[in-house]
Amino acid sequence: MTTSKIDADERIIQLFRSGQDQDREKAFQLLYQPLYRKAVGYLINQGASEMQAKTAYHIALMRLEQKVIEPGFVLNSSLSSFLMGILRLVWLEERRKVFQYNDVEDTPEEKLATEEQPMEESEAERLHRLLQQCLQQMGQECKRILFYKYWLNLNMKEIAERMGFSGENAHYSAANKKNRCMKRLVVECTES
Amino acid sequence: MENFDQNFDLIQQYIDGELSAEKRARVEQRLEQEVDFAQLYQRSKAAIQVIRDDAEQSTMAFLDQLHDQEIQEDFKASEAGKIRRLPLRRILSIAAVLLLLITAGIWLFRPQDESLRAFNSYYETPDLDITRGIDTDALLTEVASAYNAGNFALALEKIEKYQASGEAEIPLDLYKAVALLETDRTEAAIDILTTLKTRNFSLDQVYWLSAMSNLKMGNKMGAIEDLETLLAADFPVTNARKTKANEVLKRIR
Repeated sequence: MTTSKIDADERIIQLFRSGQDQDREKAFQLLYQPLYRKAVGYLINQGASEMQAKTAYHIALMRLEQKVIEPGFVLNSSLSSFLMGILRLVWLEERRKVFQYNDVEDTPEEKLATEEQPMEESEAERLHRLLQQCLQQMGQECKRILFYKYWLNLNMKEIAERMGFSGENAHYSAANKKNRCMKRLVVECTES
Repeated sequence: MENFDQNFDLIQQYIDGELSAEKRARVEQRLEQEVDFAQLYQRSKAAIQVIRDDAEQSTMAFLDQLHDQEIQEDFKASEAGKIRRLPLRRILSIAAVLLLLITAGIWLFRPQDESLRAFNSYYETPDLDITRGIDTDALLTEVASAYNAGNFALALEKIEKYQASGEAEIPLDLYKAVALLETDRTEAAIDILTTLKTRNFSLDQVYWLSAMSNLKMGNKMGAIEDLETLLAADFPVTNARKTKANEVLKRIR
């Protein structure tokens, strides 16, 4: 791997780790185009449709982001090789899901139930809908902190840095903030 | 309420993996035994799933935008590639057509010869007035009609018919020369005008038309000779004709 390639990979990782939305978008932009055709070509050769290939590529990119921001992450190859590795795993998982889905046939009773019973919103579906509505109504700070915690899986120290909390107890402040946001989402919204 | 808050915080710590093994075991025991505690846990898990779904959707939407840009770039590149991938034969044929067009353009827009430019500036079709004749028969009327309508091919045909009839009372050779000149048979026109120079009839017009015919042919010397004859003529020449003759001479010399 050339020095310029290493520098480019390192820059993308730093952009992902910076915590700024525009840096994250820039990282995706830098990563997306150079590998797109290679990735889609590989998946189409494996039997994927263009739409499946695109979706798998996007999932792989999202997983790569989560991986590279993990504490202690070390890149042992090029970022493009790493992404292609993730892509292969994603495609295997997707194929497995399809096979599992195809293998499980509904029993005659289940088929009848699906065909004849009117669709009623289950308690789980109602809860899901309420949570979605509530999340959309939350402020940007809560959204960001919950995104960092449950999408990027950052620890409280990292979240505190990204949120701009300073001082010795910054990570406690971040944890309290995160808990307050969760309480609003879980308790206030779902009990209304 | 205090108890609820403690339970909520405990569940968050359990989900986030922040509890010791001992405390985890106690939480798991309570999840099996306490309905409210278990419900709070389920709602927290559902909330986290919604957060993840939302993050995934917004990231996917952004990646879809990148995908659309990539497709557009790809399309542009393939369009550019189509031009680059043209076979050699196609490129050569396009080059040949372009060369032809350029040559035609150069020919069409080449600087005109001064003689031709002088012809275009000074040539005017002389009127054919048949009322000056003694009688106007039907053939002569047809000649005049075609000539004055600018249909010189038909006029030529009628003139020849009129002259062949043996009853021609008006000599139409001068107008035959004009019809030939107008239909781009300039050499034949000059032949007729050369003959007319030997006759003592409308010589100023004969020499003027001869000069014009020579200019159209690009025969500058012949035109100068005709115009100089006009200026030094012992036959009647109008002042207007002399002025124009001088102007043309100045231009073509």
